[in-house]
Amino acid sequence: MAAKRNAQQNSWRALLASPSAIVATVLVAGLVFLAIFASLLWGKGASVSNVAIASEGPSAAHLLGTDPLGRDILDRVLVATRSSLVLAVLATAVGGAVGVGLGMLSAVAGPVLRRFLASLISLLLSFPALLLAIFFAVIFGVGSTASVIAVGAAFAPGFARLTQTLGASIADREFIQAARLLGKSRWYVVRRHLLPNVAEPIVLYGTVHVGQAILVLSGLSFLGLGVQLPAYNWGSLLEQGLAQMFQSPAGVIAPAVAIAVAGIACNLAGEMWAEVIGRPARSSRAAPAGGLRGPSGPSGKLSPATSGEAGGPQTQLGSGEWLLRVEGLRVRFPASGAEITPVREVSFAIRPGERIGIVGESGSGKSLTALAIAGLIREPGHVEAQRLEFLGVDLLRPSRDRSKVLGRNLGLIFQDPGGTLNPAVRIGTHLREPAQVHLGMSRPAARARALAALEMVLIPEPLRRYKQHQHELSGGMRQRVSIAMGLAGEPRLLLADEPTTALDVLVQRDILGLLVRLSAEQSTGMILISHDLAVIAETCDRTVVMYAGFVIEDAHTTALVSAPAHPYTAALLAATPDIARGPGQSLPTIDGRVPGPEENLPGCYFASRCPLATSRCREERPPLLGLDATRAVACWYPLVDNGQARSLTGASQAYRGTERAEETE
Amino acid sequence: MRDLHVAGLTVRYGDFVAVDNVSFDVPGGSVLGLAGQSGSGKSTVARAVAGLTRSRGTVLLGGTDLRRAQRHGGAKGRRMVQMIFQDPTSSLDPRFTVRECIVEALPGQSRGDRRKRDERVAELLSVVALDPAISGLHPRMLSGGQRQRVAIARALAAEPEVLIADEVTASLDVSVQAVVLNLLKQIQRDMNLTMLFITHNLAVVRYICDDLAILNHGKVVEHGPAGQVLDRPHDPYTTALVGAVLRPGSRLAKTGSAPSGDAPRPDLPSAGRGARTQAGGAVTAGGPAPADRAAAPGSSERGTGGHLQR
Repeated sequence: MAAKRNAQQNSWRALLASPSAIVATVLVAGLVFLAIFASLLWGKGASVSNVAIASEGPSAAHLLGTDPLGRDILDRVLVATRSSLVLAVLATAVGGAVGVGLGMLSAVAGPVLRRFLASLISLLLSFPALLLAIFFAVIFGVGSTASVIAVGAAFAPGFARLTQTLGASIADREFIQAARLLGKSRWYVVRRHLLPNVAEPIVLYGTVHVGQAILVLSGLSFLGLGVQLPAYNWGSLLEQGLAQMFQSPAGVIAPAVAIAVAGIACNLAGEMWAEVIGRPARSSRAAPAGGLRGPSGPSGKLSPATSGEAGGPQTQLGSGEWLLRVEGLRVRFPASGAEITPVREVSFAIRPGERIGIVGESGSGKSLTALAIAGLIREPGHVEAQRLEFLGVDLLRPSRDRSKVLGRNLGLIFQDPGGTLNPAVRIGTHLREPAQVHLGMSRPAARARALAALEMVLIPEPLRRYKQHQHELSGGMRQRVSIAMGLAGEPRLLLADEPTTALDVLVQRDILGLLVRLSAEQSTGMILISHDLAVIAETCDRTVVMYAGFVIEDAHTTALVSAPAHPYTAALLAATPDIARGPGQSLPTIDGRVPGPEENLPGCYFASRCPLATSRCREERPPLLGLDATRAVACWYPLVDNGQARSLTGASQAYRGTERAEETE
Repeated sequence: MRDLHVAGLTVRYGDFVAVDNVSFDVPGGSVLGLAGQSGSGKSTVARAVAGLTRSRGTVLLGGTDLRRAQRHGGAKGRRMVQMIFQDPTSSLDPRFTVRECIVEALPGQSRGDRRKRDERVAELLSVVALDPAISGLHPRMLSGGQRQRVAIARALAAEPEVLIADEVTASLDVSVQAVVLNLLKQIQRDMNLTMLFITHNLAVVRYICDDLAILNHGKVVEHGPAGQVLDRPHDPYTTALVGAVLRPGSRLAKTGSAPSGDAPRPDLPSAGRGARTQAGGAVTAGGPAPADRAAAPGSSERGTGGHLQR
């Protein structure tokens, strides 16, 4: 609670430093002050007529001159603030109450009533507010009450539509269903669950509409349909000033300026409010569990990087060399307060044609590692490493070589195949265009190539699918298409992030089989990222286990699964349900939680959850060291003990050894 | 505990038959697993039993017509069946504190004073192994696993006879899934609840279900004791589904030899699992861990392993 209050205070403070917010605050405060005190201070000058000084120009005594009855124009404009504002607020309130009521009713109504209300709201929305107001003014007669009701009625459909839309999105959520299961009444659901969750945007909408109401009410008064004499507001002042426009222009300009300023104040205040209420929601990931979804924003905007630069030759490598080398990779993001480091130290390497799996739970940094390799971490994210080389090209510095090697040799596949395909573009076009644009192929050649790609991923009736859109395909089919796209440029490395997580088990097995077969046929290296050890064990020769932004174990999958060396790997494996186990067994659990990306510990990040941890573990971080020929582990007390942990000979650390040898030479 | 009897349950959306004449019995105090792929109708069955979807057919709890009770029996009739949903984020009102979420579900909350309610909230939170001190927090301040436990506490607060768990671990991490599954099984046993456990993941079935029904295209294709359905499936669809479940050691066991240069490997199916169990036991066994846990900086998650390990 306190944290929330602080966050809100902080965002207020940060906001108040911005110029537009200062302007908004000053303007709103000024308007409120005038509405309350103007009639006390200037009421006399505004109301007492003095024909002796009628229609005078600006003077020291009357800064903006006087009107035909000798009343001070400035005073009258200032005093009119109250009536203008109060009427506008009232009109908005009337519109809001009616509109929100209608919208809420339609959110909880049965299907028939809902359809009727939706049509009614749509119908009313299609009339302009001013026109509706004039219409209502005719019905209700002229005067301030009538104009308030008229403007309120004109605003109601907008509020109703907003409430209906917001309410519908909330009404689908499970907590509403849970309330229904508890036998709560509709009125209770509206009052306790729906209204509080839609209140903020509606209040915001209302704030902006006060400005609108001032405009519309002034317009009505200007037309003579609003406030009637002797009462006046800015609109009627404007109308009175119009007759004298050429003798005393101030009589028109002053109320016009007042209307404009009030409108601007309401809009700015609305924006400011939106900023403030938007902020705590966005920074809500300051939750105890290391929810990393926030900063990994770019993942939502990823496009499959199947495109290659024209003529970018595939770099040739001997089979003994490394396809990808990652050493000491770190990914940092600035966050409110301190910096967060979701990827702390990741080192691994992959040979051409090798398939490795990266396994980890949420907060392990596995997906950000993939994004960093693909060069998809955006500002303000920051990637650093001792080495990040793909086919011998340094990926840390932007260069022509870098975009060439990434575009031509790296294929990407993501969890949600629907998100990688443009819904408005045919399946075939997705596959054909890159070949035309980047490889300079002719259209028929590119088309033949695309059809072959669809056949390659075992899509039945490729010709028919070629012409379809993504919504006509099942999830498994879409993932096949995105695999075809990922492999279209015959990349040297395929990076697949949770490619089967959204799919059913039967489809999952087919897709994994396809990935394995194609990567073997094309001798494409593959990095498969998954939260599921079973998926990786099914597909990958080697497994890299990540925890809290570190690689904590890197071993041949067989060895890792049969005898894990790191206590976390062992715990993860034990916690993985096995269809052959049970009944009457409970799953071993891991107590505690993953340290968040904001934490900075001197020792092992698993120590607080590890039964084997000693004071050494908490004080000194174990490096990733080769344990035997097949594995490296970052643990002072590995579960598999071959005597002394040998120096760097582990699977992916071998290159460090060769490098040392070179250095000594 | 009364038996749940479902017969001829049918749910249509327009012309589409989502659930087609489904019948099953769940003996009081036992757990029936409903498994199938997406679109098989398993969640629709759950929603129909809970009364959240219009359906035809018979749903009896003991001799009581459950749907009549849900429609006309007021809050009391509704409370007999409670559900836990897949996404713990959208199943808790973001505006509510943990305490408010649970208090809302307490029967007769208008009676009883504040202290009594707070006691009940604390009691329910400790049932789901959460520190009662979190009752003032909002759901967004909790981890996914903690949120799901709050959702379980809310369902229990309503004192239901039937609990429906709809893919409750599908959006959780593996280690958190283990905690929630153990907890659910323990609560079900302790409170002798009748439960429907909906899942797409057959690997978790045996830990929690007594019986298992497999759904395909809205129909039950196989139904029997969980172990029997998984070990000796009769229906070809069930066979395919069971065969598609991945196990960390399965492919390695199938393909036989490991890549060259590997260390000698013990025979996997038995020794591998043995090693894992051993290792897992080492990690979760009490020992000095509780002290460490308490000392963990900022840890608000209470250890659940201790009293759940049997």
